[in-house]
Amino acid sequence: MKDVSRKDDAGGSGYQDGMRIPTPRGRLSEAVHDHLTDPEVRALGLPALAPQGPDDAAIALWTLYELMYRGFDDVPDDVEWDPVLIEVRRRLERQLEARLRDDFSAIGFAGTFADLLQEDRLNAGTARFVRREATVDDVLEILIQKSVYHLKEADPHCFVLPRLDPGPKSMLAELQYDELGGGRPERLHAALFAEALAAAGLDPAYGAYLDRATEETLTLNNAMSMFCLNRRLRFAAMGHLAAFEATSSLPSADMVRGLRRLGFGEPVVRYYDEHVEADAVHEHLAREICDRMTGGDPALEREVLFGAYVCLELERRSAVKLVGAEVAA
Amino acid sequence: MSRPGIGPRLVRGIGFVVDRDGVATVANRPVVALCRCDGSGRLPWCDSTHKVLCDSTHQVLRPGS
Repeated sequence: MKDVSRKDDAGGSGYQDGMRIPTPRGRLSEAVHDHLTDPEVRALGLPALAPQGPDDAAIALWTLYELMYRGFDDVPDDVEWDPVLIEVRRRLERQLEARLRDDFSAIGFAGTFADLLQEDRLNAGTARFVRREATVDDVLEILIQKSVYHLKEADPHCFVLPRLDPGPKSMLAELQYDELGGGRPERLHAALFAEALAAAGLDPAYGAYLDRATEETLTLNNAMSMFCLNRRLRFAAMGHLAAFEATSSLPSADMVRGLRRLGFGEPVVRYYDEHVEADAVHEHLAREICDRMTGGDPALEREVLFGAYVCLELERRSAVKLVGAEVAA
Repeated sequence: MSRPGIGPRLVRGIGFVVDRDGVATVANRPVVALCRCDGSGRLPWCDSTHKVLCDSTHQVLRPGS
């Protein structure tokens, strides 16, 4: 059943069409895939399968979350709230959250948000690699992995808005208004990234590269959706955002230099150039949002820190996967 | 939360900034971050250079030090 309500014009961002369901990576994601696509299978319910490894779990969870964003071609819209799928999602979420909380506990971090960021500055990540030594093919692979988030950039955080008190809510709205183009569809950050992909000779369609997304890329995206779609995790969601924005401005400048060095076109450069300035603003808004949300409560500040840790750690793992541990460190 | 270096001043609702030479720069976003460390490569806007001007203990380094 084609969704007749999907008429929104994407303003040239290349994602006006829905996407197809990503290829399964094991028996759980296969069962989810079949449940979504086949009404007869759907009528039978979903067997309680354990994931066949991290890739299977990650793509299954990503697929379930996507039902809450733009959905898939040929999947009815009301499947979004199918209780059978919600149950699978909650099971996968609990596992992901428990793993991330264990990781955070294991590092025994006792410092502040600024300390956490300071430690992370030692991890150069992919941007310095792009500035100094990446090849064109390296950059294309980086853009492909980044496209999983950047084509829905800022979308997860829209879900958080109604869950905040007036002060932090209005500041998040300010930040989101900028992310979403300030009233100009062509300036939507997701649209700028779609233009960048096209200019780099890549496919700008929403979800085009899901089958090439690594487990690290999927998990990074899943963590963000988990934080933003669970009201209980709103403090972690904003801590994640604050860490994301605080580690974006300077690396974006590195990306600009690397992309120019390699001769990439202006639309590719423009996406990162925009983020040098934008994220220098957003960093301060996001940190203020966190401060106002916690009001200095140590337990809530710990949740903000947990979110920030998850952002930095999953970005680090993703960078290691992309460019290797020696280059990323 | 401590804020290392001399971070920017966030300003809302301005249309443009005029520098001391009378050159105006249009503000393209609802909130802008005005550079206060004078190290930005895209004045009057902050480009996070103030973070590079700090050492690892968050002490602000003087130009030339």
